[in-house]
Amino acid sequence: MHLTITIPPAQLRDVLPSERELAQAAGRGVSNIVKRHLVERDQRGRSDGLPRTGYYGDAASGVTTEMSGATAVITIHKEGVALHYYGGVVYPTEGHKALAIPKVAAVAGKRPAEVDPDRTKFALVWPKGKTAGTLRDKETGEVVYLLVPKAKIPEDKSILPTEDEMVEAGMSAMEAIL
Amino acid sequence: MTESELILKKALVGSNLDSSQWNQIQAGFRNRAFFSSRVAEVNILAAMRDKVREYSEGGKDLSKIRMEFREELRKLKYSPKPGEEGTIHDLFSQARIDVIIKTNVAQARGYMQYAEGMSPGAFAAFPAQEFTRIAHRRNQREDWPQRWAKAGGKTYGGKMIALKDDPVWERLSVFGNPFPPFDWGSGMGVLDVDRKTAIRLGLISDEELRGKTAALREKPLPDFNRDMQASVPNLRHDSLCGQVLRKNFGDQVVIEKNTVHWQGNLIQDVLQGKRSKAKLGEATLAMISKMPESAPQEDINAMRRMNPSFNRDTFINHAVKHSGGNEERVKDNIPCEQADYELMPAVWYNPDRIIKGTKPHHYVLELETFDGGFLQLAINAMRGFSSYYKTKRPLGAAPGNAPIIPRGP
Repeated sequence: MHLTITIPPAQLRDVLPSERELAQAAGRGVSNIVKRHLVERDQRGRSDGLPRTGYYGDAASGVTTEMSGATAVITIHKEGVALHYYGGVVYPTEGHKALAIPKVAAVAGKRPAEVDPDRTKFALVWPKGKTAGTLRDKETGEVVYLLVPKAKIPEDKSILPTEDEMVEAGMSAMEAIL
Repeated sequence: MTESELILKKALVGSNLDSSQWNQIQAGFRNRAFFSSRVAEVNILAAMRDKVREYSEGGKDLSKIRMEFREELRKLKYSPKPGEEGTIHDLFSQARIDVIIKTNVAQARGYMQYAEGMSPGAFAAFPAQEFTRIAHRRNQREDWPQRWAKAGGKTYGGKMIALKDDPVWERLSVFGNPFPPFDWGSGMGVLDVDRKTAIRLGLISDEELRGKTAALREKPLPDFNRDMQASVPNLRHDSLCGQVLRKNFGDQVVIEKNTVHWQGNLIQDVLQGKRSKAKLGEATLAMISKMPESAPQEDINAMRRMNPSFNRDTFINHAVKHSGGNEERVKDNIPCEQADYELMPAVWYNPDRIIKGTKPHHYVLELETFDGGFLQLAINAMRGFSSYYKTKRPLGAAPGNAPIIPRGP
């Protein structure tokens, strides 16, 4: 995204905001619309039926604007936001054969190794020839995690405002202080 | 400054204070400390702060962070008090770790968003903010409108809105800060309100806004850490506040020229060349009790009276003088990180062990760290601070005592 700013003549600089201040306003305008969008997104429930975690709300709290001269860089400090926005394939990290996707509320946001560090609670079920397996509770037989060799995350541009909306927010903020 | 840098700038402060007692410490001073309710061991705090930093950088999920932190607690031989296993007092518990990580990261982010919003350009465009729910919580508090009113806040069409520099924000916060979080894990936060709306609501006039913006241009928001030091005005050693701080934190606080500093910040300042030296504090009974049995009485008496001074020039000169002559030793040394230097007073107060050096009056105080290293503080009982370094092997296994030169300012 590019915002073009024309610097006013020198004699007007005392009464008009500086280039840096315009960038501060524009940056804040864009970060505000991003933050509001994420807060609204946080109000929705989850599609997988698991309890809401406040993920997008936490992302909204992690929106920062860093100034470098007259350039404002807006960052969302939250793991996974870029992955959801652009989409992509997630593979297990080195030393792991599968991704573990929580299927019950009790383990949401927890890795199997955290829930069952001694590997005594869960039974691994991975039928031969199948592309996915499960970790089941040994006592109840309930599927606790779904195990998959990779997970495709679809691109979802709707998690952020459109580029036009962001440009508009930046322009409006600059106009407000001119 | 990034949020992880902000987190690392906090001094490690160990104490047995609980969270309500900590809340009584002035916010500006408290914000410069990294602490946790009823955690007196600074090496545990160092491990915690490291995990908070890692989480703030976004590279690891919370589950991974919790697992790693528990592993470090095991290395430091931590165990919860009997009867407190699994409760919020147990550092192994998910609830406690989550509170520590999330609150510290939220405070760093809240401060950054606040500071950005108080820049002249951002303030001129968005001079006010609305207090509202930012993130969903399973058990949401419902008494926020009452708390807002009690703090002196006004509502506009049912919305809780105030200027960004209104004192209502500090009064609303249980932490005494003008930025989120305003309470433990509340999910409440702020959204900017634009200039036009703020003027329409009568919060500020166009002229007042121009005046405030000009003032921010002239005098920007003070540096976070400078503000933290200067926020306890007219404080003297013998004042009631000074006495309370000394009683609870001992030599971890240093009062000079009516300003309070955390000891860890002073060590950082010395290393960065902002000040020439810092006192490590008076000897403790815990330290004296660990003096080797073979130590002569005159050395024990001298240690008891000592308040060693950490001087950057002496430290570097010593390192230069000794490091070249003992390659074997240097090979075992680990470069000290910031947290290692901050732990220097802790090594002095309460080392794991003290070993007599090969030269007369020389002693090495040793403390094991969460990352498997050994901090060693060399003291000459007659002359004070000698050197400080970190090694892979505990004392007795590593020859010599050549320290690594710290990184420049």
